[in-house]
Amino acid sequence: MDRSRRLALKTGGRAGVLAWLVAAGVLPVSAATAASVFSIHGVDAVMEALGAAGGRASDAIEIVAAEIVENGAMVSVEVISRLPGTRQIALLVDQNPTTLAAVFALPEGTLPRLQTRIKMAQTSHVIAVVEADGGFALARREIKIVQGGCG
Amino acid sequence: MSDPVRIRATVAEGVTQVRLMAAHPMETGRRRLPEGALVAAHYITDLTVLHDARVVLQARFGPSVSRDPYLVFSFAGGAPGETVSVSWRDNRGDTRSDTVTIR
Repeated sequence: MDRSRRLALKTGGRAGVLAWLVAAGVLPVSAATAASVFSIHGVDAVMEALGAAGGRASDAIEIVAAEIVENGAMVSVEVISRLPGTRQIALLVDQNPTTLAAVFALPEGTLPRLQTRIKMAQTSHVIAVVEADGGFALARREIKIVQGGCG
Repeated sequence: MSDPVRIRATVAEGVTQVRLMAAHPMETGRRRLPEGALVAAHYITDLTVLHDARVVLQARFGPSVSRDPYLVFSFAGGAPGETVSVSWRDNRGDTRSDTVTIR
């Protein structure tokens, strides 16, 4: 059974379907399709585009990051989800020109924990939106930025 | 031709940890040169990690991911001698694919 297809159909989100079509080679990855969710501005609008509208805050999701970061061009962020069946993790930055930083699809067998580095234009909240067996949930954490890195 | 993706894949107690860094400018399209000209957007949009032929991570990036994207994650399974591959594509259609052996 093709899990990514099942997920794409289940979430019904435009992003999920597009991602699957691209992965399956049905759609070419043009800048336009791949960028669509990323061009949406604002946390609520991005959540809706991800199919995550109505996602609740959960303390089963942890964001590990420094409280204060000197250089906003390189902010290390780790997301740890203890929600069973975690299959997607999205990272949003509420004050960035581009709200959505990255979306990670985690196939079965991949641990629900990953670390990356993002840009932050100014002090703001980083939001981790997790899709798991129980639907969408999120966590947020404020990170203070001394010098903004063009987000 | 872009530089290779630096990948390290190590297995311990049945879990393989992957650390990778893809050399890429990740220009947002908003940065200006000192003389005022905008630097065109140039960033990785898609990055896929395979363990042998199986997808273990699929990432979609916007321009807010830092220069030289860095990722650490783990998957169950993997054995020394098997491979981990990283492929990316950017907003200009350039691609890059690199493979290492799990240690």
